Amino acid sequence: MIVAGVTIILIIVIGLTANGRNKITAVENVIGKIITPIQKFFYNAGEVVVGTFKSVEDIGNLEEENKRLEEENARLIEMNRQYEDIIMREDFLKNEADLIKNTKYTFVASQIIGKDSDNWFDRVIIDKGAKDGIKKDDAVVQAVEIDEDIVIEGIIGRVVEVGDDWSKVISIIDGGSRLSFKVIRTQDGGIIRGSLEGEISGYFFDSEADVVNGDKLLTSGLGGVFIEGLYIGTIENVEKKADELIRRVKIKPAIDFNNVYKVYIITGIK
Amino acid sequence: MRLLYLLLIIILNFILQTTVFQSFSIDNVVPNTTIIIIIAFALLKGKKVGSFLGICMGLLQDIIFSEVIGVNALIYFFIGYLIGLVDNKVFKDNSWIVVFFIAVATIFYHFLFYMFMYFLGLEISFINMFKKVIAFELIYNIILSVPIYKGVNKLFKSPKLSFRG
Repeated sequence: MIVAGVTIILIIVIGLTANGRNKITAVENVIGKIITPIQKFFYNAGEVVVGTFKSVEDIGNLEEENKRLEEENARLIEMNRQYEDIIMREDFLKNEADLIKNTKYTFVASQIIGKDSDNWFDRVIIDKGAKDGIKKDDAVVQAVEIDEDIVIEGIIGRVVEVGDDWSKVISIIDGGSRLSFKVIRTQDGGIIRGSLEGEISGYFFDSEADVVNGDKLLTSGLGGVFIEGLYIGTIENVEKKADELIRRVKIKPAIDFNNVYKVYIITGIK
Repeated sequence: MRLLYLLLIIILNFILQTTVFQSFSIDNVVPNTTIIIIIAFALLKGKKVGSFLGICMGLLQDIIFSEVIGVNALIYFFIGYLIGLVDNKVFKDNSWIVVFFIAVATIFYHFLFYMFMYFLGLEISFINMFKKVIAFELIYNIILSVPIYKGVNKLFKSPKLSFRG
């Protein structure tokens, strides 16, 4: 009896929330407010723990006679790792600085504080929300270098729901995500979607589109969800089948989605 | 008091699973400790505790991460309730029972989830889902199931016979 009651209530809730909402309820907002600061702490702690494990792995296989040598080696590896870290970060920071200097958008900088745990979707929680001026459907980007010295906004995803100081973001590699694109070189347009495996594939509106591997893609702004001109990635593979009316492509995204940590949310135009 | 413990476990598991465990993912798949905890409690404490845990943990995950509220709550609720039904019918100290239920529940969860996503209009290739999500997660969950079960058993063992009332 209770089981049937609970089931019916939950199915009603699913039905009510299935079509997307503009605002989340007060209850959700409060729960998010309590949980997200704790998540932020643990997410950062997780990064530190993994970093420590990695340097311990480097040391492994210690034997008595070459202990001293191994230790020195480990120290050098550790130092090397730190330097590499600094160099890598310098690159990243330089990109960020260039982007902020040259961009025509206004940004809110934000940090990822949690990832969805059900292995189905690529959804994340970020630590900024309505209080910082974030709205539903805002684009989430990171700086990407496409040619030498040209830094542009690379698309990561979009905001789907906003709390007071936290928001849900759905990434473009998520299976439920659709995005319209255009090729920079020829201006041919089409639609891509994410998938469960984190791959992006799609097709062109024009089956005669003249595209080759390595062509660069931007968002086209069709559909009004994503703003125009955000960098997506390059074409990895063009499939030409004589008996199919559409031309399928596989996209290599510019951003490594496993290593996204700091992101920018576009809130408006300067 | 017991309710307080349960709530603490729900929140702690959720936070750890969405943050620290994400750093230990293999090929982007993380173990589903939620399902293991629900099954451990359902087996040890019966359908009431199992279904209560299921609904709370599912709702929390839905509220924080997904746009549609209730899908995870409903599936976890069913898992907690159904596995709670076999409480007192199986020999609970046998680890293979736990492994068996974890395997069945993991597959059950993903099939049901697939069904919901299908009716909510999301096209996901069934074979890819099976290969990637179920296979990896199944192995991961089975490895973690016995230690978590033993831990829960130790922490929440209620005395079978009590003469003090």
